[in-house]
Amino acid sequence: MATEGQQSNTSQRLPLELIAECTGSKLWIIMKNDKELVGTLRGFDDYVNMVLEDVTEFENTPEGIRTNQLDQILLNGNNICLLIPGGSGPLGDQ
Amino acid sequence: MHRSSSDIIPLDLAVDQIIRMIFRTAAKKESILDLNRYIDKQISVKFSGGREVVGLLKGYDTLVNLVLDECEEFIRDPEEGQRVGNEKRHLGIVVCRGSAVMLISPMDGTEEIANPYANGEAI
Amino acid sequence: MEKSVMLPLSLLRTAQGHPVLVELKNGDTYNGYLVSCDSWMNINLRRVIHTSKDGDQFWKIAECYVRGNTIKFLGISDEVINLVQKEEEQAQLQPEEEEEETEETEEETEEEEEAEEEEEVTEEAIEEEREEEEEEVRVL
Repeated sequence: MATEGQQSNTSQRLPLELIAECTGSKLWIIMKNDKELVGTLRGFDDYVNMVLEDVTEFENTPEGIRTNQLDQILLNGNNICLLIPGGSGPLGDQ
Repeated sequence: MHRSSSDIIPLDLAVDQIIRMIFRTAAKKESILDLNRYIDKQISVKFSGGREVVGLLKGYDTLVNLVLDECEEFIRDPEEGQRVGNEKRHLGIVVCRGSAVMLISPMDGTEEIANPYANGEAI
Repeated sequence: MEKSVMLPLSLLRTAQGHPVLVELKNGDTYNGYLVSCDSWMNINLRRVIHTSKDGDQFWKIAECYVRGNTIKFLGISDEVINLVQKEEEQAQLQPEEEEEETEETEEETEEEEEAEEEEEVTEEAIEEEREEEEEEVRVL
C-alpha cells in the first residue's frame, strides 16, 4: 500500500503494520454492525479482507450468541470497523 | 473565438481543474486532513453503522486507517442506535478502518451544550 | 442569454470560509464554517455545533473532518450562490488571459510534482490528457 503523503512522523505506527505484526496471533474484529469475531490471523490484503482460523463469532444484541467455525474463513473487509490485536473478545479472556 | 452555451461545460471543467490544481485544495495525493496535528491527542471517531470511539491517535495512513491507543467505545442503545450517556467499554490499542470512518474531531474543544438555537420558544 | 451550469463541487469550493449546515445520512447535523473541501466532498469544518438526529442533544466542537460519502446534503447561504455566479461571470468575461497564464503555470507545476511522485502513470499519458484539455479549450 502506498504511504505517500506521510511526512515527518516516523515515530508513529502505521495501522496496517500493526495488523501485519499480528499475523499468527489472535485478533478481535468488530464489524460495523453488531457482530464481532475473534480468530487467529493468517493473512490479509490491501482491502483488509482477512483469512482467519479457529474463529468464534459473537452477535452483540442478544448478548453472546456464539457460532464456532473451525478451519479457515475469508472475512470480507467491507464491513470491518475495528481491529484489536491480541484481542480477548467481548467476553474477556476465555 | 466563438463561444456557445453548449460549449461552456467542458471549458468550465477544464478551468476548474486548472485552478484547483494551483490552489491545491484537492491536490493529487495530499489530504485536506492533517492527522499529524492530532498525534498523541485524544480524538473522537464516528463510524458508519453508528459506532463511536475515543482514543489517543498513535498512527495513520493516507487512507485514514488509524491506530488509537487507550481506545474506548461508546455503548449504544440497542433500539435507538444512539449512544447511552457516557457508558464506554475499554478496548486498548485499536486499528480503525479508514473506509468505515465517518467523522473525526479532537476531544479538546468539544463539549456538550444546551440548545444554542433556543429563542425562548418551547421545543 | 447564455445558460451556465453550476457544478456542485465548485459551489462547495466557493462556500469555503462561509457557514454551512451539513446533514449526514444518519440524520445528525453539523453547523460550522467550511474550512476546506476536496473532490470527494470530504470537508473540514470549524466552530461546529453538532445537533443530534432527534434535535435534543447539542455539542460544540472546535473542528471536525467529515467524510464526503456520509453527507446527505449541505445547506449554503444565498450570498455564496451569488458569489459563484459572480465568479462565473468573471470567468466568462476574461477567460482567454486566465487560461493561457494558468495553463502555462499548470504545466510547469504539474511536471515538477509528477517527476517527484508519479510511478505508474507515465508522463506521456498525462501530457496527452493535457493536450486534450487544451484542444477543447482552444476549439472553443
